[in-house]
Formats: sequence, C-alpha cells, structure tokens
Amino acid sequence: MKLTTNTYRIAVLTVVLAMAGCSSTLVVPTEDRNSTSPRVEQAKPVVNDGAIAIPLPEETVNQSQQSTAPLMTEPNAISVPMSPSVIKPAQQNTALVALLNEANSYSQQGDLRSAQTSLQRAQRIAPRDPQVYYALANTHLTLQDYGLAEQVALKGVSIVQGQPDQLNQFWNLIAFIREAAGNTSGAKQARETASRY
Amino acid sequence: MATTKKPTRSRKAKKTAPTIKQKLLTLSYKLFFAMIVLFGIALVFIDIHIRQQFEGKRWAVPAKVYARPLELYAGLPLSLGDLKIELRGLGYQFVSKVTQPGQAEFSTTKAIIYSRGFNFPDGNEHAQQLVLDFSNEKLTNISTYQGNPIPLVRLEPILVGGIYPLNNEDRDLIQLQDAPQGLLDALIAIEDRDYYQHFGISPKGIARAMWINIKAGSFVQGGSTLTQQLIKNFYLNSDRNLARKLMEIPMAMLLELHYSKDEILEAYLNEIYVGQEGARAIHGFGLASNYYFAQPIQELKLHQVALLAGLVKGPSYYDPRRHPERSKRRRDLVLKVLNEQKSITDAQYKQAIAMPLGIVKRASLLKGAYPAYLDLVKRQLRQTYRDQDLNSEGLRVFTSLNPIAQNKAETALVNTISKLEKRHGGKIKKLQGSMVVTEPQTGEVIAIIGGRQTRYQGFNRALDAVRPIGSLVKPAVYLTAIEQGYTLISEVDDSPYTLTMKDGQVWSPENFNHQSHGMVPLHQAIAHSYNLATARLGMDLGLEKVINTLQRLGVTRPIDAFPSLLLGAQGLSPIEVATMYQTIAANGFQMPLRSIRMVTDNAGQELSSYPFQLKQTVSSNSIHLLQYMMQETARSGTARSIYHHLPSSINAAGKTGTSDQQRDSWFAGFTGNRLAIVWLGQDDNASLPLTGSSGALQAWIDYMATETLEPFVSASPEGIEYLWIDQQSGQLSADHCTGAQQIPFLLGTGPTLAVDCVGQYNDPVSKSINWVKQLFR
Repeated sequence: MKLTTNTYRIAVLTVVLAMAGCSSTLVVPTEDRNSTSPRVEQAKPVVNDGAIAIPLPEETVNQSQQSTAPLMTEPNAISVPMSPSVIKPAQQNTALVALLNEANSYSQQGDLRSAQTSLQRAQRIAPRDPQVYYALANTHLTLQDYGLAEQVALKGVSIVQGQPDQLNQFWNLIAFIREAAGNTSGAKQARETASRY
Repeated sequence: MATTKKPTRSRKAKKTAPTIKQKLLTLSYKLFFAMIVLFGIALVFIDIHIRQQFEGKRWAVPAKVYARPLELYAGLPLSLGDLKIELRGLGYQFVSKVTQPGQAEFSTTKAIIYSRGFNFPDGNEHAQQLVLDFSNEKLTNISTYQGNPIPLVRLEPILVGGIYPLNNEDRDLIQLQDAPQGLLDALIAIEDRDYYQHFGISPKGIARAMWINIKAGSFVQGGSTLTQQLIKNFYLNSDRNLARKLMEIPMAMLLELHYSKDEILEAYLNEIYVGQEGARAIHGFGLASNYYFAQPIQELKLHQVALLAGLVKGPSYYDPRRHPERSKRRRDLVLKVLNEQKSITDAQYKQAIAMPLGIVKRASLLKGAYPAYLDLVKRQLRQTYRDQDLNSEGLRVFTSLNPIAQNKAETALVNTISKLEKRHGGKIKKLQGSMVVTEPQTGEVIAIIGGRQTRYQGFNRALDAVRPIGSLVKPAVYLTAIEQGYTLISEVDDSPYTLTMKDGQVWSPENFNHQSHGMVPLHQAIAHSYNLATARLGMDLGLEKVINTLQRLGVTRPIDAFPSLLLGAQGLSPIEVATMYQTIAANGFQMPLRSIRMVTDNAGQELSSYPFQLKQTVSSNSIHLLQYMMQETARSGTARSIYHHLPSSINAAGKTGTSDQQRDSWFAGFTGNRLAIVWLGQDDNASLPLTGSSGALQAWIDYMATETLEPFVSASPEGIEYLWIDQQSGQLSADHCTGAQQIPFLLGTGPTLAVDCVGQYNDPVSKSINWVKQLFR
C-alpha cells in the first residue's frame, strides 16, 4: 500500500520531534580505543562543534615505542590517528534551534523550498548535526525527490554512527523513502537494519 | 518709343533682377521652412528618443556578486582579528563609540558593532547595535545593546565583484532619497546654482562661461547645467564641439519639459562619470561612495560629499588618490561655496576643511579583489545565464566565498612562495602557486587563488593549470586495494619493479630516495608514499579498477590507462583535485563543489539556487580505512611536519604529491572544517628543488595555522573494529605493548593470532601461515 504525502509528513514530523527531544537529553556513550587500557588515564575530551576527539596523553607513548615506531617520533604527535567510534551531536546551539524551528514552520506551511534554504543555513552552522540532515531529507521526500532524500539520510547515518536511537530513526526514514520511491526490497532491507538498533 | 522702350527694358531689367533675388529669397524661405520642418521632425524624434531612454531601462546594471554573509552566533569559532578582517571588507569605521550604522568599537574581549542591515532573499536583517563577547578565538555571546540575547544574526555580505557590460561601466544605483542632502546642496552649489530655477539651460551660466572663455582665449569652461551634463553623459558623446552644444540645448529643454527636477537629479546622480579603475569606469555617486570611501552613500559626512561633488568637474584631474592636494583644494572650494551660500555654518565649514580626505587605499577595496573566485562564479553562472543578462539586469549573486579564509590563504601562499624563493636563491625563479579551499562537509568553495599575484585577472591556475598530480593519486590506488580485500597490514612489495609493456617499452619506477624497502604493510606504503609498492600494487589491482575509483571520487576528465597513472602522471587542475579529496573528506559522499548559493533578480526574487547535493560512491567502511592511512601520513609519514606547527588535536588527513622531475609540488589535506589543495610550480614547467612536503605542504600549514580549526573526526562505522597490532609481526598485540599500534579493520579481517609483549609469537608455526594469508588478501 502506498503511503500518502501527509502520512509521511506526520510520521516524519513525529520522528523529528522525537529526535529533537532525544538530542537534548541523550547521554552519548563516548568510546575511544585508547581508553581501554587500565594504565592510561582518560584524556580530556576535545569537544568541537559536536564532534568529540580524545587525544592521547603524552605519557602513553613510552620510550621503547618511540624508538621502534616511526608514528611516535614527532614531539607533538600522538601515537596514531584518532577516530572515536561516536560523534556527539551538536550541543544545543541556539542558532541551530532557531533555524530548525524556522524550517519546521516553513514545512508546515508547505513552503519546502524556504525550509531547505533555512536547513542549508543550519547545515553551514552545524555541518555534523543529524537533525539538519533528517529534516533536509524529509523536505526532499515530500518534494518526491527520492534519490536525493535517500542520499541525505545516508549522510545522516554516517554522522550518527555508534548512536543506536538515531541510527534506528535514520534507517526508518530511509525505509520510508525507499517505500515511497517504489523500492520495496530496499525498504525492507532498511527496516531490517533499523530493527537492529 | 525710345522713352517707352527704356522703361520697358528697365522694367524688364527690374523684373529680372528681383526674380533672382526673389528666387534666392524663395529658396531661402523654402530652405528655412524645410529646416524648420526637419528640425521639428528631428525634435520629435529626439523627444521620443529622450523619453524612451529615460523611461525605459536606463542603465545596464552589472550583476553584483556577494561574499557569504558572516553568520554570528554564540559558539562560532571567530577571533576578534577575524571579525576585523570582515568589517574592514565591509568598510566599517573603527571608532571609540558607535553612534551609527557602519561603525564598530573594540576592547580586548568585546566588540560593539552597529550593523547596516541587508535585504536577503530569505529575509531582512535590520540595522542594529550588537554586543559581541570573545574568548579563546570564539564568539561566546551575542546580545543587543540593551542586553537581550540574540541567537543568530547575519552581517551584510561584502560586495566582491560585478559582471560588467562591454563598455565597462560600473555603477550602484541609488534613489534620490539615499543621497545625503549635503551632496545635493554641494552639487547644485558648485555645478549649477540656478538648478531649481532654470528650464534646462541657464543663459546666465552660459554668459558667465563665455566671459571666462574669452578672457582665457580658449574653451576652458562650459556653462552647462546639471540637465545639460546629464544629456551629455546620457545621450551624447563627450566631444566638446558646437554641434554637440547645439544638440544639448534643445534636448535639455525637452527633458525639463517632461520630467521633474527631482527625477532629472536622480538620473544625474546615477549617470555621472566620477572615476576610472583600469578599464572599469566608475559611474554614479552610489558606486563612487564605495570606490573612494568604502562606505555606503548614506553614511558619508559633509567633507566626503563635498569631495565627490568637486570630482565631477574632472575625475582624472582631481583624482584624490593621484592628486590628493589638488583634490583637497577642490573639496575645500566646494565647502567654501556652501558656506558662502549659507548652506553650512561657519563651524561646519571649519570642521569639514580640517578633515583629511579619508580615501581608502585601492588594496582595501574588496570589489575586484578576488578575480580567481569570480572566475569560477562566472563559469558556473554562464551555464544558466546569458552574458547580456549577467551584465545588464542587475542580478544579485550570493556566493560562498569566505573573505576571512581567502585573506588568510592568500597571505600564507604568497609568504610561502617568497620564503621558498629566498631559501633556494637562484634555483627557483618565478615560482607560482594556486590554492582551493572548501568546507569539507558542505562542499562549498570558500577561497580560490589563481596565482601569486592574487589580484591579477589573468591565467587562473586553480581552474586551468592541469598538471601531473604525482602521489596525490595514491589514495585512489590504496582505496581500490581496500575494496579488493587488502587490509591495512597486508604486506606489499616495495622491491625494484620493472614492467615491460606490450609495445616493448620498459617502465622502471623508483622511490624518491632511490631505495627499496622490501615487504611493507599497506598503511606504511602510502604514509611514506612508496612508489615501487604502489606501482606493483596498482598493476596487480588493474588500471581499470583504479580509474573507476578515481571516477567515483569525482574525477570526470578522461583518464588514460597507462601504468604511469599509478604514480600520478595524470594531469588535473587544483579544483579537480579538490573535488576528488572532497569525497574522501566527506566520508565517501561525492558532491559537486559549489561556489554559488543563490541568484536573485534585482528585486531579490530567487531565480536559481544551488542546493546541497550528494551521492555516496564509496562505502563508509572503505573510506574510513583510507582516512586512517591519510591521518597516518600526517602523523608520521611524508606530511609529518604538520604537527611541528599545528596542535596534535586537529587530527588532519592528507597526502603530499611531487610530480616527475619535481616539476610540481602538491599537498591535499583536510581538518574537520577546512579542506585545502595547494599547488606550487613554474609556468614553464621547470624542475624545482621542492617536493610536496618541502613546498606546497608548507603553504598549507601556514594557512591552517591561521585558521580556527576543528579536528577531523570520523565516526567509526559499524563494520569497522580497531585492533592493537604489533608492528613488527603484524599480529595482535595489546595497547601496553612495545611497538603496538591501533589499526582499523573491516570486521573479521584482522589477524587472529597474538604476540606477547616481548615480541614472541604465541604460536610460531602459525606465523608463516598467517604471513602467507596476508599476502593473498
């Protein structure tokens, strides 16, 4: 059965609101592959526009490592490239909230082009905030630009790696988009992925 | 009879003589009549022409190109110094106490700015006083003057250029009410004091001018009214001759007949020629205000408007930049006339003549300062718009150019080139360079440099210099390897390599240091940019597969499948390289690089927008592994000098590139919020004593060191696991062990055997088996 555009809007709006709610209360598990050592103290996180990176403290590079591993020869360098498995969503940024609200209000009026303009402005301010991609994908979905809607949602997936709630929501959105585009098997696959979270 | 004949003859004679006169007279009458008719017809035609041109679209208005507006919000990475760059570009006056729009005051951690407001296509920003607090290169708080917090506000965008018609006339149209009263008073006082009384021509003015000309013995002054001057500029050429003068008079009278004094004055304000910058002719006071003072006309003070009014008489002769003293004398004369006519008080007069000219240097004008960026904008615009629309319809083009980033990139590139030339003495002559900077998550191009003369409008190397990319191609080879099942610790062979091609040609690549390194793990082969390992790996993978990877990374140029492709014989322009690396920085999502956000008509109605578009062409898992290797290149490989200058936390990723015979020095790299491609080389393709590391990378570092950087952090995808690996053996280790390095693997592809911390294998028999396994991955 094909879902109507309004059904999408309601469903998607509910999820957006849920996400907005989640992101303000979500306690993000910060994992770092350097923090597993019992000997190493947890380094102070560097929080920057929503991303979190935990640099290794200098003392984790011991002398013998320095002599054998070229990776550790730089005075400033830490042992290896950093790549924490989770990126924290942007801290509640009032500018971002204002723009998301503005976009939401345009969407409700059916002015999706203006909503996209606001969301792209939001994206420039917080390019790693999942809410932006979720709402942007939604506008493309409503405009029946399914290809782009799915790609924007996939970009959201790449941002929320390690955050099960958000992954669930993005994969459900992708399922909606694929369903609307007539890609039933793709939708089923996306729903199965969503159900893993 | 005779008496009767005489009179007859005489009558005849009398009759004949008047006949000629009469004929002449009649002819004269006819001619006169014909002339009147012709003159009348001409007048009718002239009248139609005057009205059509005056009422129709009067001027071809060039498209205006704007930089991105600076968005201000709490948390924005922005230093006070950055804000000053932006405000200088906008022509703000730095004062001790702000009182009007276009002013800013600064303390050590605070700025108060009085914004001018701007009508954006998606809403208006009104003029207001903003209080900005700064801490640690960040805008921490923004509020109104009354202390109410403001979540978000946009400053007006800097006008960075125009797209001009063939006659090169540039102007910013204004309305009469925009012009300060002082300017109108000054113009009328100095150019045409009877303006509001005459009917287009001023007999008094003409008599005065004639008297002066007779005294001088030559034509030194015209008695032109403002109306006549408008006619001269608007409809006629500028030759000073009698015919033109004769045309001017009826045309001026006709214009006055049809239009009000205010309408004529407004047209005059926009038409009049007031300066020249190269080929570009500066017309109208709206643009003159920006051109000479970098301020909007509404903000000009008495001494400034007097200078502009004085310029009309001879923009070249009184050019305040070339002849400041002459220009000041003329300005002061205007002020004196105003004072004599009681338009200004004695006190105002004295205050105004004490003021300096206050002309901004040409270098501080940002209009026309970014030819390379504008070049990209124009190319993108021409895909949609005709030239005549671009140079005449007054379109507004909103771009993503970031003047702060552009300023910093220019400084870094130019300084690095100078330093390198100095360091290498005569070995480098005429070193050139170019740069492309983007925002890696959105794909917006924020700065472009086309050559070391950053304001030179010539060859745009960032877009048009297609040069061999050297090792910048290697990420495509190693990404292909990952996709074909290699892990980061799969061993690759960096021993001497010779390939005999079908046509008998022999290809024997070498490493940069002419040494080979035997079996090396994949991640180290790219980090240290080993050529032998890469060539052998690429040939094993297949050239077609590598080309396919390059295409998925965004390279659209046809690529020849020659083995030398694997070491970067393929030529690309810096902007093409930026497209390729953008896909890597954006986690495998290919996105067209965008320089334009929106185009509107002159009333602000959207004509076209350029939305965020993207397509995932490389899987998150594969790109994550590649990013790791490029981060390692920055940590310990060929780009390790990054961390001599930049903080460890930025976690940059990148790749150096040096083309054959060191003709090109490249670096492509990114942090969380900046991707920059740098090329250095010589236009004659001569060899350089530079590699990617010792050349382009240094400019990249210099640039990044001035930016407020965010670390590059890519969330580890689900299909990736990080394992501690013993670097010697390639087996599992632990974080506390000597020589252990944490390396990402696709789930289930990591080694299964472990070594203990003193470097012994738990199961020596399995060592060989595992080694063989690695070979065939």
